[in-house]
Amino acid sequence: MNSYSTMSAIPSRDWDFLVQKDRVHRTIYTDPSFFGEEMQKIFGGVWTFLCHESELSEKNSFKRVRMGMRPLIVTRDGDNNFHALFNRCAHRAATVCQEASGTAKRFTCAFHGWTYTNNGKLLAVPYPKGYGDCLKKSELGLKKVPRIAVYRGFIFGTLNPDMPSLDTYLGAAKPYLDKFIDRAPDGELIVRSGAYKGIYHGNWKIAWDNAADGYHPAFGHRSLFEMTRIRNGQGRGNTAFNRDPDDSAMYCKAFPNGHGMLYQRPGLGNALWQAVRPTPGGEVLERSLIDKVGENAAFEALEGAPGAGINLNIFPNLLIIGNQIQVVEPLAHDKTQLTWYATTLKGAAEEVNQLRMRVAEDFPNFGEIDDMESFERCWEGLQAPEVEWIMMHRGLHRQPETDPAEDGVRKVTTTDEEPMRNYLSAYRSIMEQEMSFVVS
Amino acid sequence: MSSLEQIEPQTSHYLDNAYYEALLAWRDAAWTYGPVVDPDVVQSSAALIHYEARLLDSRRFYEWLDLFSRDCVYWVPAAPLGDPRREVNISLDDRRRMEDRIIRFETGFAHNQEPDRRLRRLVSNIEAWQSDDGQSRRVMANAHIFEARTGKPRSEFVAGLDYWLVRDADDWKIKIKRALLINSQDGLEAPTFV
Repeated sequence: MNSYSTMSAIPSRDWDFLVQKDRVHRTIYTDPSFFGEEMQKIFGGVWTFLCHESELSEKNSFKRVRMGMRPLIVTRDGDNNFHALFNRCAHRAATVCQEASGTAKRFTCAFHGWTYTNNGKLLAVPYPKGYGDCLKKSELGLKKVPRIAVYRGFIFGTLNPDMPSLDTYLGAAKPYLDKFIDRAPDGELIVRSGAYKGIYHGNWKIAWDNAADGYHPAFGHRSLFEMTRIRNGQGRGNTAFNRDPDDSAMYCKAFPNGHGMLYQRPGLGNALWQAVRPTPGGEVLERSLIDKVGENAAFEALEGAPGAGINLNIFPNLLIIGNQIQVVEPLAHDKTQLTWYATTLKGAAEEVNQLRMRVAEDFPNFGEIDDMESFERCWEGLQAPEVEWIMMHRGLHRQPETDPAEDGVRKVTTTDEEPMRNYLSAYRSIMEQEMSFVVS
Repeated sequence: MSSLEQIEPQTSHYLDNAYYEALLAWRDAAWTYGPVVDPDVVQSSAALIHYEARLLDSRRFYEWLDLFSRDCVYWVPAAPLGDPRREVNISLDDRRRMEDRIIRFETGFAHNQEPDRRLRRLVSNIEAWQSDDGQSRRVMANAHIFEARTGKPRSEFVAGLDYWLVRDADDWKIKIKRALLINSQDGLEAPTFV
């Protein structure tokens, strides 16, 4: 039994006014009514990242996630099929699963004892004779996200029957996601190493505005750059930010559907391992690997430890940063959680995967904290109703590069705000649409 | 007086597999401790732990660093029972990375320290035990940390503290400090120093 909901575009919203070519109106960040609509239409209306297959490595494992504000349980059932179930009892709406993750064949609502299988079927209710013959069990399962799809371990879901395939949606951004995954000798990423969760006070789109922003590092992260210079000399970190990054070989790309990228790799020199800031235990693990496989093979393997230099953003909630996966989780219109999942590389030396943990702890502690401070300052500034606009016109006078081999992709210089204009244009087109959702 | 110039080590050779094994064995042994046996051990350990808290609250970071042994680790786990070789932490700093934090504060460009974060922590429920050979101690405590910034809501952190002290001549040094935040697996609002 399917249930449907249709969300019209709100006619009073003048999108030509709110999202312009060169600027965006503050109310889409500050007005809570936008947030409610976004959580329904943006999160779920397009392919939305749910979790990684490796987090559900065993039969009957599950993980709680949210799709916008919807509480979900992503499960792998006994037949190895994935489901994204609404964590919502069909009876009175209580959540039926409280643990963040684990294994379970069944979920029982603690309120009145309704019990479901991990593929969402209603198995039993207590004292069934109280329903006479009017308990239609087949209609009272846990509702499901009707479409889920997996790309190389990344599980996405959408409620929108009109969305094209996940492959089409990822489109031209896919080769860069491949590049991140292909650092694993066995071509697989493993997301089973915990997470660092940071919260800032501000709208979730402020993080998106910054997600492929090559303009801010030299200023926003000046403490990190200075500290690195003082401690480690000039050769560590991304040295291309020491001068105008637009003169460097780094670049940004804007992809169809709002995805974007800041490609930092050219700023990191010839060897990523030589550029990464010193890491707790780094010398020990480097030595251990050299002793095992020799210098050449060791240094080649160690290239897998640091971040890839690819800041890749898959709209609306998956960001690839460093050697991690960051999930943007809006909590309220003025509160956002950024969850950094540490990742390991299948087939990589133990030393490399261990180093990835210590590298993963670096940026959230030394860089992201200043980003979140900037986000909160933006949020404070946005509270002035009379000053209406956020500017995003940097680079508009330049013609983006295009390549017939990459359909719809625009390549721009590092500090160009095209990635921000691009995601907001995708955002606007979703918000303008009427969408019909279906849950099965 | 301490200063940047006095910080010399730029290498980190002690955080090897044996160190991690010892770290985990030490952590897991926390469950085996019963009541305190020697109140004098508690009293003298408490003096060190309270002094450490005061140095942190007063941002006297170089003196704070001097309380730690050369081969120290400052550990704030995300998952209480994770293996840090395979899992990410909120932080797992060796001495070098602890120094890095102090240097970052001193650059003058640590935006999240402006306006100033004023911290005060209450450390209590201190228990301590000394090893039979008299060379090491374990100290457990609770910390309630308040952080105020002008124009911002006050934030607070609650953590269980766990110390491994090692004898250093007539004194004690902190070899390992583990701070287990009660919300370590939930979202955190940029803590300065736990």
